[in-house]
Formats: sequence, C-alpha cells, structure tokens
Amino acid sequence: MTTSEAVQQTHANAFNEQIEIIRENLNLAIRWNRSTVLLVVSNSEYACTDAESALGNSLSEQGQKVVRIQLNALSTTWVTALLEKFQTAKGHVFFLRRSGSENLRIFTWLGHHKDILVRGRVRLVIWLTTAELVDLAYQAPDLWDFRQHVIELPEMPSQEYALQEAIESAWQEIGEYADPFEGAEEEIRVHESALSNLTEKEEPTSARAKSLLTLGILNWRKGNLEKSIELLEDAIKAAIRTEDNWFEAECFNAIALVKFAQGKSDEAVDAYKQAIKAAPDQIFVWNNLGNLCLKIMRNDEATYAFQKTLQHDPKDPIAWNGLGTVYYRIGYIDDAISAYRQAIENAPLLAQPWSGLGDAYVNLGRDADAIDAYQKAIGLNKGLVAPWLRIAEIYSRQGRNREAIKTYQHALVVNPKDHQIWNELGLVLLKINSFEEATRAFLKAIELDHSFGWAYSNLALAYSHRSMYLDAVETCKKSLQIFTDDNDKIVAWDRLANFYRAMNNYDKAMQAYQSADRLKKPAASPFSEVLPPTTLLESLPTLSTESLPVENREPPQVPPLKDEEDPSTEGAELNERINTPAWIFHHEEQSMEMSSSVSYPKELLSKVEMRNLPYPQMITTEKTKEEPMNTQEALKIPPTYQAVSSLGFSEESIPKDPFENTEEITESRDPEVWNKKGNIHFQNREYDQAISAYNKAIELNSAFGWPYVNLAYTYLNLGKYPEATLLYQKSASLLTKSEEKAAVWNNLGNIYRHLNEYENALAAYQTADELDPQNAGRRDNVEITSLRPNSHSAQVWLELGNLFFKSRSYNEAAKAYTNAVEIDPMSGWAQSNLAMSLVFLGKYQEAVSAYRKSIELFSSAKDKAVTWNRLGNIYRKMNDEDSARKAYQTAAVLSNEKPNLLTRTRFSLLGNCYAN
Amino acid sequence: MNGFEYQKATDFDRAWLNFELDLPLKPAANGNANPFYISRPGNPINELADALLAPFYRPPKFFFSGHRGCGKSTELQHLLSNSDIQKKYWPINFSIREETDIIDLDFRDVLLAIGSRLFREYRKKGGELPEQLLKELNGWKGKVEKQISTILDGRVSDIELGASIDAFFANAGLKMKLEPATRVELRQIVETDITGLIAIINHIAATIYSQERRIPLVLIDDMDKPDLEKARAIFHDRREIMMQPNCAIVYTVSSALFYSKEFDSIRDQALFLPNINLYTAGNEDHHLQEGYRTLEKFVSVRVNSSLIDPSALNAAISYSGGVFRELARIVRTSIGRARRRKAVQLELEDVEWAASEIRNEYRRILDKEDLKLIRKVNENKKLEFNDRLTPLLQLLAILEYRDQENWCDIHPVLRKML
Repeated sequence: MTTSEAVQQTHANAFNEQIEIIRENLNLAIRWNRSTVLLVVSNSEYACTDAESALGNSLSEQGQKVVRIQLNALSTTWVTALLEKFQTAKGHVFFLRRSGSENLRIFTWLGHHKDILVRGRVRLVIWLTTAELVDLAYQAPDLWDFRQHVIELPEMPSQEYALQEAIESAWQEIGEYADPFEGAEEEIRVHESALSNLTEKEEPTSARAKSLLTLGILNWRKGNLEKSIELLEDAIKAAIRTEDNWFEAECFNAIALVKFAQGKSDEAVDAYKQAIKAAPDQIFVWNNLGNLCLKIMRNDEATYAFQKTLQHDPKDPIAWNGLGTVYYRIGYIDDAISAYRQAIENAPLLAQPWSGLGDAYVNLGRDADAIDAYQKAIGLNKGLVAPWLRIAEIYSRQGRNREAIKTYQHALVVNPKDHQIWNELGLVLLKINSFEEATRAFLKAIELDHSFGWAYSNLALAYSHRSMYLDAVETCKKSLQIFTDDNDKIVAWDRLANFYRAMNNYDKAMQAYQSADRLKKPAASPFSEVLPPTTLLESLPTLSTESLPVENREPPQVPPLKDEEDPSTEGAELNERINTPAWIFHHEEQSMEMSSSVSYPKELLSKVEMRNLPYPQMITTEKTKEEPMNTQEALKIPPTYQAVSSLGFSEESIPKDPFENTEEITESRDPEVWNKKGNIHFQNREYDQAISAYNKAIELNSAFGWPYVNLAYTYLNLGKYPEATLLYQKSASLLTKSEEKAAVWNNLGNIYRHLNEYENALAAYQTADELDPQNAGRRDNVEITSLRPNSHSAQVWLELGNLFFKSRSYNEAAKAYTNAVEIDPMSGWAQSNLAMSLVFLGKYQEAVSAYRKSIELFSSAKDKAVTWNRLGNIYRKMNDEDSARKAYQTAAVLSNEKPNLLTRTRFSLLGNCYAN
Repeated sequence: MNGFEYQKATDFDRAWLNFELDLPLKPAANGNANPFYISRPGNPINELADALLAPFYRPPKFFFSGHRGCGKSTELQHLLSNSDIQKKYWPINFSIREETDIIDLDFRDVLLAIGSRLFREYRKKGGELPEQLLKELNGWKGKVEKQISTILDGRVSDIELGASIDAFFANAGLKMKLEPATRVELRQIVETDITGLIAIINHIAATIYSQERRIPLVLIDDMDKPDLEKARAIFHDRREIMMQPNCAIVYTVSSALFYSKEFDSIRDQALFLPNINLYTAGNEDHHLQEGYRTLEKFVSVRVNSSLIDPSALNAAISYSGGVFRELARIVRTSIGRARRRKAVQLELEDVEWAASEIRNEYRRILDKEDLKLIRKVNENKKLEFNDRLTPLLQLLAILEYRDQENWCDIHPVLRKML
C-alpha cells in the first residue's frame, strides 16, 4: 500500500468509526423509541455530505426516513411547526444543517423546548462547524446538556456526495427516486404563514426572496405548478432588486424544473440558459441542462451540455454519468460503459453511474454483471428505487421469481407508495401462484392510485385464479371503465371473455370477444395490429406457467429452453417486455422495432404454442473460435476444432451458429431431437429451418403430436391460418393429455376468432373447456406452461447448453450443462462447458474446479490443451498470474504446437493483469 | 412515563436505555419511590420536606437551586412520593417548559401556568370544580378570547364548561409556548388584571383544598433555565406577586441567581442541592467512601453489576466529579464503546475512551483564557469571580462542592488536558 493509500485508509477507518458511533446511537434510540440529539462536527462540507449519505442509507434500511432541515431565517417558526406536527417522530430522523448566524437562535430555542424533542421522541442529528459548536455550547446550554454525543468527523477530500446531492436535488422528483420527505403540504403552510409575517419593510428582501424560492420549490413538489411559477418569478424579481445573480440563477434553475413538470420543455431549457447567463460560474447548471435534455430525448444537446461541464472540470462525475446515459441511449454501449466507468473512477461513491453501468450490462446480456452493478448502486444509495426494480426485472426475466419478489419488496421499502411497484409485485406473485398475495398487492396498487386500470385488470386475473369469477368480472369491468386506450381495452375484453367462459357463460364470453375484436384496427398484417403498446406490455402480468402441476405433463415433451417459465424466444421477449416496469423506458422503442418483424396477436401468442419451447436437437460438433476476453478481442486465431463427439468450444469462442457446419451434424433419428431443433430455429426466427426440422420430426414419427403443434404455431407466425388450423386439428387428435388437447382447441378458437368465425370459435372454446374444465377461461395463463426438461440424453443437454451459451443466457446454460454432467458424469466437455458458463457468471472458483475435473476426464491431449487454455484465462481473471502462466504453458505443451500469437500475447499480458 | 419500565439491565442495550441523561424518575403509580431513585448523603431534599411539613400561617414558597445535572428534577419528583407530604399536600409537579417559552419567561407566564396546571391536573385526577368557579373562569376566559382570537380554538359551546376551560388553558399554554405574538397579547391582558388572575389561582387552590382537605403544592421545575436577567425580573422585581398564590410553591432557581446579591433577601427560603463530594478540597486521591457508594448505587440500581468491571465503575465515578448526569453520560458513552467492540463487560478502557471523548468536547469549546482560569481553579480550588466563571460552571468545566465551606474544582476529565 502506498503512503497515500495508507493515509486514505486511515481516513476511511476514522470516518467509518465516527459514523458507527452515530449509527449506534440512532439505532438504540430507534430501538427504544427515545429521543436523542447528536452533534456532528466538521468543517468540511464534503465530510458532512458523505456522512449524511452513509447514515441516510443505513437509516433507510431500517425503514427510517431522513428529514433534512436547512436552517434559515424562518426556521424557528418552521422547526416549531414541524416538530409539533410530528407528535411522534417515529420513523423519522431529523438532520439539521447549518446556514449561518441564525443557527444560534434556533439552537437556543430548541434547547429551551427540548421537552418537545423528548415528548415527540425526536431523533436529531445537528451538523456543525467547530465554531458553531462553541457557540452552541455557550449560547444554547440546554441543548448542550441534552446532547448525547459530540462526534467529530475527519475531513475527507472527496466531493462525490456533494455532487450526488446536486444531481439528486435537481432531478430526484422526476420519477426515479422516492420522495425523501412527504410533508410538503405542511411545509408550504408553515412557509406561507411565515412569509405573510414578512413585510418588505420589516425584513430584508433577501429573506423574502429566499422564502419565495422555498415556497416555489415546495409548491412544485406538491404539484401546484402555476403557483410555483408565480412565486419563483417573484423571487427572481427580488433577486434582481438585490442584484444577487447567484440567487437569480438558482431561481431560474427552479423555474426550469417547474416548466419541465408542466411539460414545457423548451421553456425549461430557456430557463437553464437564463440561469447560465445570470451566473456563468454555476457550472452545475450545465449538468442540470444536460439532464433535462436527456429527459426530453434531446441527446445532442445533452451531450453538448455535459461536455461543457467537462471542459471546466474533466473529472466531473455527473457529466460523465450523463454522457454515459446519452451514449447508452443512442446505442453506443461500449462508450456508455466507458463513460460510466469514468464517473465511477472520479466518484467511487456515486450511485448513479453504477446503475447506468447495470443498464449497459443488461443490454449486453451480462445479467450477472448488471446485478452486481445495480447492487453497488444500491449499496451506495439505499434511496434509489430504479436499481431494485431492474434487478427484480432481471430475476423475473430469468424466472427467479422468489428473488424478484424479494427485490420488489426491497423497492417498496424505499418507496412504499408507488402503485407501479405493487402492480409489478402482484404480477410476479401471480407467476408463482400466490394468488392471495397477488390480490393484496393489486389492491394496494389500486388504493394508491384509483385510476390505475391495469391494477384492476390484473386484480381481476388474480380473482379468476382464485375462482372468484364474479369479482373478476366486476373488477375487469372497472378496468374497462378506466382504460382509454383501445389496446388496453382489447386485453381487458379478452380477459372478461375468459372469465365468462370459466363461468360457462358463452354468450357473454363471445360478446366480450367480439368487443375486443371490434377494437382491433385493420392493418396490413393481421398479427401486427394488436401488438400490445408499451404501456400494456409494461402492465400485463406475466402469464403463469405453473398453473398445471408438472406431474400432469407427459414426458417426453418439449423441455424448456431456459427453464419452465421461459417459453420461447418470442415468448420470453414478450414476457420480458410485459414485465418491464414503466420506469424502465430506455429501450422500449428499440425492442418494439426489433419485434415488429414478427408481430402477432397477443391472444394467439400466449396460447399453446408457447408451451412448446424450443429445444436444441443438434447432434453436432461445435466448431469453435477463439474469442479472447477483454483486451484480446482483436487477437483472433483460427478456430479450434474439437472432436465430433466433444461438443465443446472454447469459452473464448461463442459459436456463431451451431448449425453452420452442416456436414458435421449427425443425422439424428430421434423425432424429439428434431422437434427441439425446430424450436431452436424458431427461437432464432429461422422459420423455414424450423418448418424443415418439425417436418423431419413428423417424418420420423407421424404420431408424435408436438411437432404438429409447433409447426402450426410457426405457420401462424407466418400468417398461414389454414395450415395452422389444419395442423392444430391434427395435433389435437394426436396429443394424449386432455389439458394439452384443450390448449390446442383453445388456440383453434383464437384463430377462428381472428378470422371472425365466431361460431367455430365458440365450438372450439367449448371443446377446450370441456376437455380441461379446471382451466376454462384461464388458458392465457396455463397454456404456455412448459414442461420440465426430461431428456435423458446428456448430448441433448450439452447442445442445449451450447445454444443458451450462444444466446448469452449463462444461467440457463449452466443449468443445462449441469444436467448433462448429472446424466453423464464422465463427459469431459460437459464439465468443461459448465465451467465456461460459470466463468461468465463470475463464479471463478467453481469454474476452476469444473475445468480441473474435465481435464481429468479428457483423454485427448488436444481437449486437455483447450481446457488448460480456458483455465489459464480464469486464473488471469482472478489475477493469479502464476497459475495462469502454468496453465497456458501446460496447454502449449499438450497441444504440441509452438506458442501462437495469442499464447504469446497472453503471456505478455500477464505482466499487466487486470481483473475487470 | 409513557410506560417506561424501570428494570435493571442485564445487557448493554437495556443499560444504554437506563442511563438516559434526563430520564425522569417519577414515583410509581402507587406513590412509592422510583426504583432508580437513590438518596444521597445528607440529602437537602429532606430539609425541604421538613420545611414544607412545618406549620405555617400562609402556604410557603421555597426556592430550590443547584448546578446543572445535580439531580434537582429527580429530587423534586421524589418529593411527590413522600408520604407525609402526600398527607398534607395535594402536590403537582411540572416543568415550566411545558407551559411557556422559557427563553422569554415572564412572571405573568408563570402565574398563568400555575393556575392552568392546577385547574387541569385537578380535573385530570377526577376532581370536580364548583359551578361558581367554572363560571368565573369562563368569564375570564371570555375576556381573553374576546381580545385574542387565536385562542378561540378552545371555545366549544356545546361541550361541558369544565372541558371548555380545560381546552382553553391547554391551547393558551401551547400558544404561549410557541407563538410570541399571542404571548405578548396574553400578557397584556393579564397585566391589566393581574389581581384577577391571582384571584382565580387562589379560588382554584381554595376549591381544591376544600374538597381534598390538602393544600395544593406546586413544584415548578426548570425555572432555573431562563437567563439571570429574566430570573431577576421574576424573583426580585416581582417577588411580592410571586408570593401571592394561596398555595405552597417550590420554584427552582439557577445557581447564578442563588448566588446573586438580589437573592440575599430570600436566601433563607432557599435550598441548594450540591454535587456529590467524592474527595475533599485539594485531596482528590483520598476518596470519600460515602460519595462513591452513593454513585455506585446510582449505577447498580440500573445495571447488573456483572456488566461493569469494578475498576471501570470506579473510574467512571471519579470522572463524573460527583455529578449524576455526568456519570450517566460517561457510563452510557462507555457502554456504546463496549457494545461496538462486542465486549461482555464494560472495562476500564471503555471508560477511559468515554472520558477522552468528553475531554475532546471541552478541548473544542474552551479557549486559552478558559484554560488559564481552569488551571487556576485546579491549583487553588477556589471560586474567584471572573466573567468566564458563570459559563464555565454552566458547562460543568468547573464544579462546585460544599462541605464545611464552598470549594470548587475542575471537571475530572480535564486534568489530563492541563
């Protein structure tokens, strides 16, 4: 450790010790519900801000809210009213910050009224300079006596939290952060009362101006935008009278926020320009302008504004963070990552860039890295909601529903009044069949926002799962009253129809279906017209995949691609989009564009086809290519061919196409394999190849029902309804389980509906419901159920793993490889590929262990060499230079080749190890 | 107090709670002494009790003084549990903070508080006041409300008269405490009819006496908190009026007022509660066992002895200088440290750390001149008048003791600083 590092470490330790003392006192006071007053002394604004942030996080974890009070000329009245308001301050910790000579009077006052503090169980942390502490001790002896502890913070030379505060103070109210203080109304009342006592004759104009600014901001927070503008304009006039340019700029800053809230973005931009003109030295205004431009999608201007800041301060973390967001937005993910990393480097304790980095990783499919980044963001700022939600979204997408639920619950601790989060929680609860809890979650969402139509609609779904069809119908009708968008109504009508079907009320069901269908606008493609809009996708529940018990499913059907809850690429994509919370808006449009080429009615998509999840069928040898990690990307070497039977490929080589070397595909005679192969092609939107594969499956076993189903679905996607209809009918005659038959009939009903053949639709639905009365009207949720993988072929699992790996679904890949290992523990490539997927999940130690096992299992020196190379790569990632060198050397010896360029480069890079 | 359970601690968390600095030690509901209360050697409160129990012609007024943290509030509350006092008096105890703004305290505020609390406490305890008195009070209330519209909240026409007056007093107290403008208005009204207010107090007191056959005794805490000027204005300039209420009263007064010239004439009605002597002047190595035992008991009633190493306890007592609040502060701070280091027992090192924390606080707030004076006091153990003396006494940097004569010393934690 260098001297500088040692000094910093000592600083950090001393700082943390002091924070621990404060935290302990507050924790005990909270535990025993007692009042406490802690005096925190520091002459450094940064140290105070750091400490405030650290404490804020800790308190937030305990469900405590920090109420920050900036003392000013009006504060005696304000503090009085505030403390009186808090008859019991339970759940709150007050931070009092200094702001000049007025402190003393307030401290004296507080000391004299300490009975209010005691009675109200007020927990107070007062932030003071040394000089102020002296004044307090002498002039406010009652408060001095009442102090619990005086804690002196070591001064820390960091600015990140001050900057963090700056960014948050400007933008925290715009959707991404929980409101730190809900007493805006009370504050307004108090300030108005105080302002009314401040006649211009009696009080200095500056005090009045400050009060006007405060009131303006409070009204903005409260949503009284017109009133806010009025007050802020008065504040500007007062600022002009006092020739206080700095203050005038602050007022323009505030006006910009209000204008933005009014939807007047241009005027908001103008206000920032005015602020810059009034006080060009206020560099942070450029950042605010940048953030505003980001919000209104004016990316070029945002870039300019952030770059302007960076001209003044090349290390400004807020500007780097903003730039990261711009780059991310326009799809320059690598640049975004680089910018976020700059922000992190310059302000390691700033949470936002970590969150942005998480977004970027998600975009790259690096879920594990994304989760790490989000968790870092949360660790740094417990008040951030977005990272929680994004982690939840990842979990939900990965089918880790329990973890998703816990994560949403964490988000609700931060912001319990967000109806969207309750709704999302309800949706995940639906997924795991916790219908009662889901009901409660949707009811809570409704309680928080009575105009939230999707909460009603989803609540109806929850009721239907509980067989409370009357309630479901009534609630669904409420959602229809609220929805204004036709696409929303379509979904609601569909649901209503399903509920009626479940009640055997087919007349009403068909009426509801017809209502839905009437709303569907004619479009070029019959399937694109009802593609759910973003809002719908955000709010729709992810369809449950667990409604039917697994044991009811007959093997060997189509095992899942990812897991039992992730039906198909399209299904997954839809599900992902369905599950994408409203606040995650960044690549909605992008994903819409992506999906536009394959668009289909939701009611069709969500039916039986989705249960037949694609499975890899290929029996092939992967032709692998070296794909160096990190810095070695450019250093490609010729692909390493592996034994036909090995199926392995280098972790540094993500195969481009598992089917590209057709000559190496072993012709399987197993229809199941071809069916799975078709599913893989389907996932990849390679419909022609999918059709071929399904046909091959049918050719091999014409009594095997699932290829017909899958083929039907493929034709459906291609708009070939007659073919789809015929194939469904055929499959219905071949499938054995009544639930499966029911699902097919349900789908047939959907096609008939789409073709306006309501009589046929009615008959099909009735057949479906008769076949599977338990799930009548609920097939939106049950028919996508996938079966648990049950293949006993390690080879199939290995191929499946490879395909998951190719699609960067490393968790699923690891699961598939694990299955392969379980079935065939002697498969070296199963172990080796498992290790490779573990590497991508960041589980290096486990990967090392698996690689070592695979080396023991391989007989071929070449296979061993490949694995020693992979092992070397992991050691390099782990910064274990010696082991890496040995591994590479072993690989080089075993391959019996002269060290190639990559090997040489690897050795040279070992002197420059860098773990990402 | 709000369900606080006075239980001896068997772990650090509970011990932390039990050493709360201003933990009120009210008597138990059955009138018994508070479990955390400990008496002190030659307790002056007994003298006050004796004085109150002595025969008198008019209900007596006493003044009770002492340095910060010496236990005045505790002793006043303990007086309530004295069975003889209970037999003779109908006692109430309150802090003037609860009734008005002590920064801007005025004799009228105090009188209003006395009347208000007598009325409210009596009703709270189920006492019935005669219709005649209620009408009289209502008339006075109406007069006030006519002039101060902001207190109108208390007037509710369709509720029982007593409750209406109750609400009026409560609301007036709140306004007096928090709203300077209302306070000024109210004082102006009282000023024009001070005898009317005294008459009302006396009427309430007489009613209570006639119904309870006990004389109202009002123990007013925190009257020592206003600055010397305000205290003089009340107890010197308005002394006659403050003696008028026809009930026994114990006013707390600051040590500064107690030692002021203006207080000479009433000092015979005053009582001073000293700090606990832990040694004799100039001989700090010679521990007075009586004092140490008292403070040991202060700790042992609150926390199981297994949680504190005896040497740590001894050091904590020494560092407290015989001031109860300081002992509570040192023990509580030490407990925090012991908790953080996950110890099972509070050790000497924890107490030393706490002492050093307190020393650092003084280091931050004392200037060179203060240190000079402190050094001087440390050397000669005498109080010599100096402008800085009062604030240093107030900050407990200098502590006063009494045995044969008054003497003083510096706060023990400061010795290592000199």
